[in-house]
Amino acid sequence: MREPTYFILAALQDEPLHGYAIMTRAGELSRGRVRLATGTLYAALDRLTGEGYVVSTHEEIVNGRARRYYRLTPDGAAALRSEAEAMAAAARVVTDRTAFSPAPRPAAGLA
Amino acid sequence: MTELERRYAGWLRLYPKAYRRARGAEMLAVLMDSSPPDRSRPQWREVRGLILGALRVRAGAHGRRTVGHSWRVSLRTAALMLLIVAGGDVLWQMTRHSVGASLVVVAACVLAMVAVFRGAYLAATVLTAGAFVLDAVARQGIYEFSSSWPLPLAVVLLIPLVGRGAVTAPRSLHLMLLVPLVSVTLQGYGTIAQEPAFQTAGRTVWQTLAVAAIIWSIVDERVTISLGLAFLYVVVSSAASDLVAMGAWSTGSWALIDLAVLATLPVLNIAVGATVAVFRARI
Repeated sequence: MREPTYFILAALQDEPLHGYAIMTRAGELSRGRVRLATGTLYAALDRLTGEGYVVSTHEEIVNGRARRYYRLTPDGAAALRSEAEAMAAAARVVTDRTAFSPAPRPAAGLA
Repeated sequence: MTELERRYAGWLRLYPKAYRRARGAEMLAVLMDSSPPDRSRPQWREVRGLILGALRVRAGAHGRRTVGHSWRVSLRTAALMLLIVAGGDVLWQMTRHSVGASLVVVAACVLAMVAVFRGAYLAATVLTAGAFVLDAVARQGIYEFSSSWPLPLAVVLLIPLVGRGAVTAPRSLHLMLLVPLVSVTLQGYGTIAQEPAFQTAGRTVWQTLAVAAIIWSIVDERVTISLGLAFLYVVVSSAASDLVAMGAWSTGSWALIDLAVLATLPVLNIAVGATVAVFRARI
């Protein structure tokens, strides 16, 4: 899964959001690493909608501007969880390194 | 409507009308929401995203696709291109061979193309192989035989498609078929009119487009792979011609160096396209 896709799905975990809110939330969750341009966001939403990971729920007009809300589907949530678990497992290879380290050898000459 | 809104609306016009109808209003809203209030000119990163997004939508390359699907579409397109090259080449040289046999070869190429369009890849493979055998017999000479490499190469490209479902390619990919059409026309005219400049122009068309296709891979990598695969016939033909003309490359390494230079572009196309295909397959 591409990093922007991961954070778009993560942004939708709690509630349906509209385009700009997804963009902002993805930026916050990634601590500024993912800065989506509008064209990129909608290309990703097209892919995610095509895969059935995201669906649009409703539309509203706010200050004369159209807003369409998107929510995560169960398939999208499962894909997000699976990706998160894979990344967590990969991270543990490094963070839990002491558990796999061989016992320290005694220094030469001390035996 | 503010100046900024009008400018962004202008950039959104790059998208096809149907896409704009579905997404245009909300995209414009997002563009405006994400712009500082005092801004009057569109941000470059937004414009870049809109241009790329619009090109992908227009090229029919905006969805997700598997690596296998990208390759199947590329193989199909490259095989069609090679059938045009082969058919065109036989037509131009018809007067030098048996007219009857040439017409049968051209008809087989056309039928093979129809079969490819209908997803009947086994029939297309058999027809192409038949056209190759008949062409080889009609030409009666190994030197000229070397110029009919598009057909066996098309067979090689069609075989992986046999037994799989029909793959559909976006309309933009069918525009690629103009490349061999222009190239064959230039080369054929050059041969008949004894104008070497036209003959080399045909190859220049391929090379120029192969370079452009590397850049185009950011929009649609299938174009890049298709051109690379189809352009391989020039490399194979040159190798065969060199082999016959010089006797197993007896004059040494220069022919091999020439061949390596010629092969660089198609190999680069295939490598770049394949790499992008792997990236595009990720959701």
